[in-house]
Amino acid sequence: MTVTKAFTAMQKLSLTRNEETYPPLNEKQVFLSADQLLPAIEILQKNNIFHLSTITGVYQGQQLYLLYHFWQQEGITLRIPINQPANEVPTLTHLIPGALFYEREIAEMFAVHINGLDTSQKMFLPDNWEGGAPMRKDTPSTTDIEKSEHQ
Amino acid sequence: MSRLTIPIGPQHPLLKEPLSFNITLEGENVIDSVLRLGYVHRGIEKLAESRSYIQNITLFERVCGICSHIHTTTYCQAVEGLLGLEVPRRGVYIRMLLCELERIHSHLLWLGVLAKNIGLNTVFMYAWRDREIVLDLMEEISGGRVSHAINTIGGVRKDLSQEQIQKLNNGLTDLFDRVKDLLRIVENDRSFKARTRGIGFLSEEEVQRFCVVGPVARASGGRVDLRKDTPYAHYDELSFNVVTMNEGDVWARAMVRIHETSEAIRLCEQMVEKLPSGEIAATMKRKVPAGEFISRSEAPRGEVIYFVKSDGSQSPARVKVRTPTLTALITLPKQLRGLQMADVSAVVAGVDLCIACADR
Repeated sequence: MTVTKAFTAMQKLSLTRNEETYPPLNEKQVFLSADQLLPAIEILQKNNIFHLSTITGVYQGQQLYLLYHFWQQEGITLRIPINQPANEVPTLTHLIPGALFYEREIAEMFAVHINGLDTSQKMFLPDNWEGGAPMRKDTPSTTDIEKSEHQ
Repeated sequence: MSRLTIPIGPQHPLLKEPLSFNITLEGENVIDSVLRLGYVHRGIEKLAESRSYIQNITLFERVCGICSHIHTTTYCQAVEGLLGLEVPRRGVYIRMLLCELERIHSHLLWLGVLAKNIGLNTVFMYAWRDREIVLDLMEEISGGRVSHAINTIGGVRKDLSQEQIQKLNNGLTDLFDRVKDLLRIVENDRSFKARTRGIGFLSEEEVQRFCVVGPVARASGGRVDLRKDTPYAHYDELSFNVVTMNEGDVWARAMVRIHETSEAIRLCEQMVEKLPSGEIAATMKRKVPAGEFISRSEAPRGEVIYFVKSDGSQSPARVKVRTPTLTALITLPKQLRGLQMADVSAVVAGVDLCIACADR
């Protein structure tokens, strides 16, 4: 119920949805821009939805999206496009401290700048990693693991 | 007072898997701890994009060395969701049966690790001796003690014979008595309680803010269990209790896990009794239609999510794995703060870290 209420409330923020470009998802989803993320989280928390399951980085064609999967008896996903050249989203760690490692993973794997979070230290990749962001598709990355290991 | 920083890990007797944390001490008390992951990062999500849907089952079995079956189950559920494939009831029951056996295995293993970390070697020996029964049962059913390789898209690969069911029933009866004994130790033993009560505390509000799931959350008053809340497979046909405690310390986590083990044994018995007849797997269609699917399940450590995106080709366009340990790790520095150095081992074990899961 709470998810349905929050979903309706967020529809007002939502970008217009283009049915053809986005594949269907089996749970409710809301399309937002990066600057609507924090207001959307506030709506969710007002409706007692606190549990962020994870953050997924996913490509639709050449466009990178971040998917924030929330859950309260049923799932609801916020889909945020990462626009170039800004390439950033605000951090959620002041509202949801549990988002910390998800955001650091996104920062490392997709080279998305998380505004307000210190990501200078590596968390998952080796300290001497020079292969770029491994999951990023629009910039050519040299994910030569052997080369990086034997330096 | 002067401060001292002690590095624990990546290789350390306290940890069964590589994780590094630097603990800053002031005298005997922990002031701060800094974590570093990535020592078993294998890039599984990236690898999955270059393999076919079937090959990926083998890959995801290797995300974790303890809860390997729940990973393939969740992945297969997601792909079946994309295909719109109905899995035969017998297949789902055999899947659930292994999931619950795995929960028993994981919780007993955990109890052993905790007992060893707090210096109670006898309890460690008891717990791991009893765990041997469930390992044998899993081997009997699937042929593998840890990696079962029994899941496939559309069902399972091996059926249960009448003889196996008999062995399973005998094993479960044995196990039920053994778990009762272990519960008596955890509930009453003075040394066990002295080492685990009142440390590693997390409140219900903290559990919610840090998005902690599974037994750790349920030991702090959380009530979420995906088997009850969003029943997947056929869990809605079975009766079981969600075990919760309010103490929020390491002892409460032990109690929750032991009670959950008994519940899992009860679940297994019900599944064997209700085991439907018929096919064990549906035929998989070759072409997975474009779409996205989120599959959720309750692993021994809490919520596991697989997000699978298909673009209509041979291999998935993206698979995201969410494992329960990652959020539990964030709370670790908080749980350790102010404790004595000697309690660090109990708290670290209490969370039930699975580093391979967290790193992927």
